[in-house]
Amino acid sequence: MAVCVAVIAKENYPLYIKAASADSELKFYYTVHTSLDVIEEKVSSAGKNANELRELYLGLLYPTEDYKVYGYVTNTKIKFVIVVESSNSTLRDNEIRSMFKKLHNAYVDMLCNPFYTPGENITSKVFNNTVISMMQE
Amino acid sequence: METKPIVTSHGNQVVFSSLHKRLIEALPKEPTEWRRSYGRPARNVHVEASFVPYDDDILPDDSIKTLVSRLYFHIFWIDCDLEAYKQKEKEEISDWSAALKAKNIPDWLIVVFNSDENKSKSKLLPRSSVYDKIKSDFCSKNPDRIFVLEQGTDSKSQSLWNSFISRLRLLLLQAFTRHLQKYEDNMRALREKRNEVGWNFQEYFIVQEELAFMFEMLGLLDDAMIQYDELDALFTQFILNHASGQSVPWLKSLMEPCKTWAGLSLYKSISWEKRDLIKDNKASLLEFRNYLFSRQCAILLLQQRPGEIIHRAIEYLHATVQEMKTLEIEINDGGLDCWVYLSGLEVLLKCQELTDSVNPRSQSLNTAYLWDYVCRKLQRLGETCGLMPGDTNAPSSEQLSLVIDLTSGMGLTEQEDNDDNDGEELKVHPSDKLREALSSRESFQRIYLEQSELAMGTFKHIGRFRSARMIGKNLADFYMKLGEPQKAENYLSDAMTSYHQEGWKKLRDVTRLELANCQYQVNNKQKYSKTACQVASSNYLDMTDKQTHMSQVLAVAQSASSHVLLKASPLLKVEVTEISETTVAVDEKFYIKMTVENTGPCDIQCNSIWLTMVDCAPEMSFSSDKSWSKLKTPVTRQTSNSSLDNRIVMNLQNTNKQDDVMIDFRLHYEGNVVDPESVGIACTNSHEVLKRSDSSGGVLKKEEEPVTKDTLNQCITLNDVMLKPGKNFVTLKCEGISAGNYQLGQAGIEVGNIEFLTNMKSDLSIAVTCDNTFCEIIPDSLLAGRKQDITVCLHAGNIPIDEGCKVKITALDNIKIESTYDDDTVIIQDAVHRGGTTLMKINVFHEPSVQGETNIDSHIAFDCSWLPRALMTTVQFLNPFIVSHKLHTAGEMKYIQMMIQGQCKTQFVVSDWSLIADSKDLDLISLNKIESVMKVNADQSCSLLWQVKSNLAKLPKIEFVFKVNYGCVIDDDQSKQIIYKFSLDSFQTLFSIKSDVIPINDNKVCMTGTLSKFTIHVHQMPGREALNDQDLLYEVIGQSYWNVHGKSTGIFSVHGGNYTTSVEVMPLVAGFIPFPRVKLYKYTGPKKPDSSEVWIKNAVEDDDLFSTDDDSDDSGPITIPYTQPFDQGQVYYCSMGKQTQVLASDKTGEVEVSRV
Repeated sequence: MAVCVAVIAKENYPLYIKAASADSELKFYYTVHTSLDVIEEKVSSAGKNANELRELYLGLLYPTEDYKVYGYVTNTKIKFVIVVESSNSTLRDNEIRSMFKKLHNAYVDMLCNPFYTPGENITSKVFNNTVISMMQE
Repeated sequence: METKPIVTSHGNQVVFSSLHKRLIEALPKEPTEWRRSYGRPARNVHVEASFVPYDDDILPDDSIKTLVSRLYFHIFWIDCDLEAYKQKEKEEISDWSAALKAKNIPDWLIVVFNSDENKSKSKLLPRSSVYDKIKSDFCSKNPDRIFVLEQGTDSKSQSLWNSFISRLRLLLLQAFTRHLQKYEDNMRALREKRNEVGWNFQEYFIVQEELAFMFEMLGLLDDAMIQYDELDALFTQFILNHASGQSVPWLKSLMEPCKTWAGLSLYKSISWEKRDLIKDNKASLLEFRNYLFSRQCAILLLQQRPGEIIHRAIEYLHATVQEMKTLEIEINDGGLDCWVYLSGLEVLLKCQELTDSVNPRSQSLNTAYLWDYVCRKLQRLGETCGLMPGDTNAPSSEQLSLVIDLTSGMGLTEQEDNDDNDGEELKVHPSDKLREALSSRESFQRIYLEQSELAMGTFKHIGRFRSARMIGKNLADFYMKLGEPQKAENYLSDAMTSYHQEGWKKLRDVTRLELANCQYQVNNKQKYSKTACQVASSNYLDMTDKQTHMSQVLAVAQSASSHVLLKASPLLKVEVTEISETTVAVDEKFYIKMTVENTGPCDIQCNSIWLTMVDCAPEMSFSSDKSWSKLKTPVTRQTSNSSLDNRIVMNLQNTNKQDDVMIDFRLHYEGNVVDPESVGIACTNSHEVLKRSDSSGGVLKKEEEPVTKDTLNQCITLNDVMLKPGKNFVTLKCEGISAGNYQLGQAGIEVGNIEFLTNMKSDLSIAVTCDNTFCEIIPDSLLAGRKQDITVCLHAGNIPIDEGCKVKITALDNIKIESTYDDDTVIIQDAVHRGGTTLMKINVFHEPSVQGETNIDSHIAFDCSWLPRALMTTVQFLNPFIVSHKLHTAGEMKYIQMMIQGQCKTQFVVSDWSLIADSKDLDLISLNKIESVMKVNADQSCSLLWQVKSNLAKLPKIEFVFKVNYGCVIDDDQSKQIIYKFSLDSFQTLFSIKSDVIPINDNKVCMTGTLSKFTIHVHQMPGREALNDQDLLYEVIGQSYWNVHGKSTGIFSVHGGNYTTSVEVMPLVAGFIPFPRVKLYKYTGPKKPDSSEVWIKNAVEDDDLFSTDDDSDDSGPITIPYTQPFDQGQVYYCSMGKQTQVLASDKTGEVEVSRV
């Protein structure tokens, strides 16, 4: 169960951030913003051997005492960040991977909408519902 | 951990002690491959051993399950002769062997040491040496358990020694393998029982850790680490199972309320006290974890991997905190924070001098993170204990007692540690640091700031700026609480800027709000106003915050002593929607409609709203023929190339909405500018306009530029406007703008002493024109000599003309004006509005000028009653024709030709011509058709001829008058007359010249290159005034046909009316060529000048010899030679048109033929 899901544009500004509770939203903004440091590092270090197909899933970006932050970067450099609670021990790497896969699919579906301009904030209800379902699992 | 496998030695202790040192050194020198069971990878091991004397009592049996302290191997040393062996040693060995067998120990070795004396004997009796005896007595089944060593340093004894060492290593390893296998089997069996009742993790822990010790002892650190990692994982799994409900009883001891939170200690590689605590099942979770992690660290330190330590430390701290929560272990408030702080700091201090050789970057990265983590814990502690600055109250009594509790909680074990580690006192211990920090606010602040800076610096060092900004922001909070907002400001503005640059609007606005609070405290009005305005317009902030800051800004606006300039955006968004006109006259009003969007939370009362108008170059907007000349010289290119130059075509249409990127049109042409092959408009910034905005980062704005007020341009102002939140529509009335083409410049909104400025991005424009009243005449080209109707357009320009105004038309110069108006004064019937036109029809006539100018400029004055000065209008007339005369001579006869040449297409007819001379001595005989009419136009001129006859010997100067009637064919009015006057003087013929070319020698014809004779006869006309006294000068001009040999000039005088001379000439070209020319001059000067000295004053052409001053022959001293040409018609050259045949000479190979 995720507590925060974020989609970040190629230029590192947020396209979508949803926190499980409104109170902690600002905190997650900071968390997600800080995680960009790690994402950039991982992406740029992966870019050195260009021939290899980069895996989209970046794994655990960094843990905090209470949360674990996971990252995922699409081929178009759109970043997904999922924050889960550290205490939730049922979530293993595979579960996180499948969450990202689901998120990516939802993002692609949303992007297929001709009325959406890439780079705008995401306001799609379907996308939002997918994210909410990921938080309530 | 300095333990080594233990080996016992028995028998001859003298021998052993002599070899002991060598043995200890030699064993670990070379690695031995250790093949292991269960398919584990083989390892190279440096075998070491420590030796103890043998004793029956210390032999272990199978029940003892230790590994480290076990006696692995037993050696019996023997050095004696056969007799001694039989008597004494044999019995000893059999006792020893029996004891080992009883304990079921197969790991032993008998070493026979051959001293020199035994050596010789053994050689003599090979079958009966001590070695053979022992071998047969004890080692009949396993002969590798006996070894012979020899004393000495020769090669044989050396190689014996080497093989002994390697044998010993192998045997030792065999012993290890046997024990390990047994041990691991036991251990595995124990682990399998983990779900049974009564199983105890702590017990198992000790068992497996023993294995780890064993590996560590053998130097197999990786294997040792694996044991600990397995234990760690097993323990974690138990905790997870516990969390999911599968509780195990042995966990209860760990779940006791936690009383101590001493941090991790890395001073010693192993803490036996802790291990004993665990063994006794008395350790708390924290103690257990501390112990486990300290062991892992110890191994990692041996492996020199400090980076890994820090990496694991973060996980370890997080996981342990989670476990504490999962197991719901009671702990004092802050105790866990203390523990994290102490443990984290311990790791940091331990690792800060060490550099990870494998991955230094990852080390510094984790170090930074750990520092951050530690700082946050310190901050939490500070908050819990009331040590944060800004609290006005001193820490409460609960908080004080909490501090005491916390201090004691971490101190208990610490004290013991210190007792044990006197040598380590020099280091700053984390618990000392924390105690110091908790002791007072000041020291807390100092330590907090110090460590935060360290964390931030480390993050910056590794390029994690976002994390660094985050710490910076925390620091700013701290400084704000500390009451030092000036220190906080930089951190906040840095953070704000980076959030802004990355487009994190919410974070930006939240930080902005903090920055505004901070700047308000710093009392920096300029900066505060800017930030506060941005806060007020934020979409992400609370209304109350926005209102607070808005009202503070308004207060600043009223109170500020100096003027503050701010960017209008984002608080106020100004857009010009419409300009009422596209073109106005100077004194006309027009309106500009603006939308001012107030994004703030409340009304803003502004003193004024102003807008500047920027004049742009006039030719940009009105393209006309004249503009061509003002433009820069265009580059002419090949047709295939297209050119884009800087000719801006401004869009003068009113457009209500602009795109973000203005489309910039330019004139575009191909080929020559004057005669282009294609012309069009082209967009010069197409790359910008057509740029893909989805994937090319166009969303982020650029860095802000400083605000400067536009004070140069004309300004329109509207005072006292109330701007309500949302869109406000404002109309500016514009008056008194000077002429020009304007675009919008800058808009400003003045609120108190604050002025919000914005540069307008709009392609709206207005042309302000300044047109004076002027008259235009249609058609613009007129013919002289005709009455023509013209239309006068009176353009009112900017000044409207009222009804009843008068315009008096006055002709200047030679124009005759006829109009239907009284007194040539026009009374305006209908009022003419601004920019309007009124028409007047008049008839004009101008006399043609026959003297030759093509155009005549004249002026008409329009005296308008409403204008201070009369309007002067230039009218240009084209002269219809030119009249000229020409004098012709044929011997003595004279003729005058009159020519009328047309200059325009319009056809005129001339008639009734007459030429009259003012002398009665002269007869003019007309040679023209009588009573005919001739047509004259640009393509057709007419000529008239008169013969002049006179009997007088010398005629005076005679005036002639030529009169002719003309009329235009298209006009039906009667013809008009032109008069052309001219005079002629001394035009009668005085001399005639005849000349001839005669071939000389026997030639019949002239040949090129051969001299011929050129004779000249000058004949004075009879009946004319004799010029006997006058010296004359002839000149022969060969032109390009003849070469004159000798003198080409000669001076003579005509006595008797005739003069003949000859010169030699040579034809230069063959064919019929004209004769050389002969010219005659009047000559004054010495009689016999060299021809070279004769200075011919006028090189006149042909026979047109114009007269100069006649009196010149009297003037000046005679010494200067002086020639004077004759007047036109006075000398007649009879041989003018004569030609002679010249043949080409044979000498030249070429024939040069000239056609004349």
